[in-house]
Amino acid sequence: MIKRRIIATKISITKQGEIKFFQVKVPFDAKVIIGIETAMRLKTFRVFPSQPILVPFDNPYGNIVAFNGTGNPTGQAINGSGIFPINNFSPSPIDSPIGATRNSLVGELKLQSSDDSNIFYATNISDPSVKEGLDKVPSVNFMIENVWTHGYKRQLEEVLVDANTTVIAGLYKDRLGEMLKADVSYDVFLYIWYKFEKPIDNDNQPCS
Amino acid sequence: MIKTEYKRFDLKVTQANKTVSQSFELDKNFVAVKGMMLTSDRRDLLFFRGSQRIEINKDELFPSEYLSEMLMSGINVPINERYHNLGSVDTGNKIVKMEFTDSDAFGTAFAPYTVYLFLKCDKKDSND
Repeated sequence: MIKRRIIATKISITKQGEIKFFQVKVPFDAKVIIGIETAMRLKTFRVFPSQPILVPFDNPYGNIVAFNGTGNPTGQAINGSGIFPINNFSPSPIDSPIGATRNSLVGELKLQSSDDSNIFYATNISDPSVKEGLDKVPSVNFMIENVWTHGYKRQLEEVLVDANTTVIAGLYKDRLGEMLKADVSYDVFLYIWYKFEKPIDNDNQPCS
Repeated sequence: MIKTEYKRFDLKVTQANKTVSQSFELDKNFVAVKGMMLTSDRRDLLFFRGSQRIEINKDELFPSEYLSEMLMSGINVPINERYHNLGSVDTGNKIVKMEFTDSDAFGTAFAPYTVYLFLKCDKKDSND
């Protein structure tokens, strides 16, 4: 009988720009890796500019200019723990001066199998608590859009990798602390879904 | 005849940073679990603080560090797609066990809350 199971791995980040190499042991009965899920959880402080940001037409450097909420672009993002220049944020794909709230990049994750598939998965981890495209449903005054109300259901990201390998090597690079030039402490969770074959009890087969 | 039925089980979290374990029993007519969803009376706390291990018939479906947010659905999700699809899990001994862990997360202050575990089940008609 083929069944599904999950390997959970927690990667703790505490330093700015930290790079972590890790290994995930694959159980011997795993047949195939079928999916990857990722999540993150902040431990120390919230640092994101949740205000709208502006991307001007004539910005030669493509940097994002923050909108301070009063109609005055300041070039700085203000948050609870201080003022951070946001020139280090990557340019937005929007090239018109439209206010847009950016999803905050937290880090980069890559997974490598020692088998033929080599590097089979790479993704950007982002914080779901940052306000993003939650405006799909019309907002009403008494119901504020939050990620736990208006957010979507998390979906498994499907991959198909042979699970004959005994370990999966992983690399995680912090981008959040790097952008903010501060040590941010958070956990990244990696869930690897695999299929395995469960032996059937009393299958009445002769011993070989 | 197989019918679809939805069950709700409640687990109370009264202390911060503790693990609460509870077993729930399904009716004897339930033959398979098709879907699962988590929600709470304090969805923000469940989203940011919760993680759980869930097993059905002694078969681990989700490991202990599986975050609650992965099994939650927002109102943007169509009603028929809100449940996490489990395929068809044999109910076996009819016991569903949940070990829920509350842990500190930045920006949340603990208050007692209740976790609701919803199961979408296949039920065999008792006349069969």
